[in-house]
Amino acid sequence: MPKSGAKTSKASNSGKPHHHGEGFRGPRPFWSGTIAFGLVNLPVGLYPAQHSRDVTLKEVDDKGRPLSRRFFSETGRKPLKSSELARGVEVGEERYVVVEDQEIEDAALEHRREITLSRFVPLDELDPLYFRRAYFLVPDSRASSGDGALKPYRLLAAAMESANRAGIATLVMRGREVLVAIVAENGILRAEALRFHDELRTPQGIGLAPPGEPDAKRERRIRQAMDKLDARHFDPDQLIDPHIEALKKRVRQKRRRHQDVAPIEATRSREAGQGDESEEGAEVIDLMQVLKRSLKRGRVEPTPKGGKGKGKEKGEGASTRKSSSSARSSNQGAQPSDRGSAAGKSRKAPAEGELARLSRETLYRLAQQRDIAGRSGMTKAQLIEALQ
Amino acid sequence: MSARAVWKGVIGFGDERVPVKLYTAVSDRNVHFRLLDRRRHRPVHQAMIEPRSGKTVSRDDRHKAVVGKQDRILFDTDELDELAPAPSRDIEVMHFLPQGAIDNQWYQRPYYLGPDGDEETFDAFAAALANSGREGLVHWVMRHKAYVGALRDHDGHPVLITLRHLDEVVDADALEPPGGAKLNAKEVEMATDLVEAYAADFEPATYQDEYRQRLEALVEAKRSGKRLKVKRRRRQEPTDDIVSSLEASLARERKRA
Repeated sequence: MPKSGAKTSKASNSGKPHHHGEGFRGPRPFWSGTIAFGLVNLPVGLYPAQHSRDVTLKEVDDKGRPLSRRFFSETGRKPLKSSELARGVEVGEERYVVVEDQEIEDAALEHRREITLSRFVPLDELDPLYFRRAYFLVPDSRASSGDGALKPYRLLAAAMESANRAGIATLVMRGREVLVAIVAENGILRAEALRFHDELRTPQGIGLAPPGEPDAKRERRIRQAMDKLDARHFDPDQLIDPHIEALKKRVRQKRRRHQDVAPIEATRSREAGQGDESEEGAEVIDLMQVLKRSLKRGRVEPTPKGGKGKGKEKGEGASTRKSSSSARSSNQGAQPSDRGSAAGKSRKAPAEGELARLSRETLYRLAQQRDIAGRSGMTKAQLIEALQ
Repeated sequence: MSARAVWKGVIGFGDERVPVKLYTAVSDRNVHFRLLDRRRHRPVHQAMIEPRSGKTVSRDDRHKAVVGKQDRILFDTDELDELAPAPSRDIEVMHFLPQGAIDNQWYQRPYYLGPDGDEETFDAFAAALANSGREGLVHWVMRHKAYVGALRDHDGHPVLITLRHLDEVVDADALEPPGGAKLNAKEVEMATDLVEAYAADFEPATYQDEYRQRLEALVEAKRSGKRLKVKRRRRQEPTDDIVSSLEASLARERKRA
């Protein structure tokens, strides 16, 4: 990205926050549309509840320059242009047929901007084997007149929580149908994308016989050993990845020692996409902050260039198709920039007021880095205090 | 048809050791395309290049880097190997928690467990897990990667579901729900009645992945050399207003009941 571009967006971010208009940067909803509950309509946006890792490794050459993947024909020396590439399937031994983008596009379902909630199942009937990934639902008053989305959102969440039920529905995201369970928790609605039934094997299908009749004595002894590890509450701290932590530690060490550090040059070619991403990282508003703000204001941040409906849907379709190509490796190319460089961001020491604006999650990460004891039980205020 | 185990490990807690095999519970049913050379209809080869010089960089000259804001920190293979977790067969239980203590959004990928030799211990463990109503929080190393997981009972079969790591999930506890004036109790009651009016059982088998079916049909048609016409679906338009809508919906549901 040219320098001037970075400057203007920085200018628009300083001073009063711009929630709409071109100054806004940050994660956008994956999907936006309407929940139809009976005859009530509730416009919502979907934001991911999960994101890419804190630290990812990219391929570089010995000077630290980013590398790009290129495709070559069996004999050719020059990389194939995108017009010389096609997607295809193997139809026989070593025989391939091209499948055109348009054909795949035609197979995609027409974008449907509606989630119809007309099945509510008991929460404990949902089998965790089905859970694929989660999205937060944010009320979107912008789509209706006034702030009409907040109240139906709160009502639906309250009703589902008191009924102890989850709504089962389908929605069309990126041209394909997604089965979701809409779950209300602490007043917030979440869509859990579920696997389709035929995507799950059964023990019988695998050839696993049901476990046999247990020896009662043996079972009792195992139960006793289990009871010794009994815990009431789940502590997310136990989900820290020691490998990533070791990697982060080594990164800090190398930076301190100026060892194996390659500076990122001021100007970059377009292909060196990773550079752009990390620069954006400084501007990208934390997903958490966007979520908080949107939940509070009951509105989803606008997508750029009025990217509603058709145009956006096409873009989404294209990205799925790209990633579904088996030739594309997942460790290559730009990661979704929804997280930006979280590690880099948290390294700068924020001022007091700035701390208050950070999410508990971000504060928690800061506390992790500084190894503040007892952090997992701290409230946001306590974390701020400990970090100052 | 019996499937092959993807990994073998030993679940450990206290003095107990339960040797198990992991079988993937998810079957990948996506249609996979190959990238082809359009002119020759042959699969392509791939290589990494340095975009500015256009030169191909061989595997031996490639490094990995962590990309920061102003710099890239380089790592070579030996260093990364050194940082990687040590290989082990141990699936260590940290805790046994009440079922439901682990929030849905942590769950990632399920594996069925089967015995690896000692069936007696496996059967006793499966029964103990099922009767305890608990799930084990475990960690292990599989193919140079650190995993965390939940050990659960699934209709008498023990399953191991990998969990996402802490840095991959948004902290839902830190989010505040949309606020505003206190909700009218009458309206909440009405909405709850409507939820109850739509009560149903979870019947996942009734849903189909239509997109995948269409792609499969497309690929099948290609295979047999036919052309396939797919029709697009229609879309519906939404409406407005809340209390009267709730009332009308309830009335409609009552009539149906």
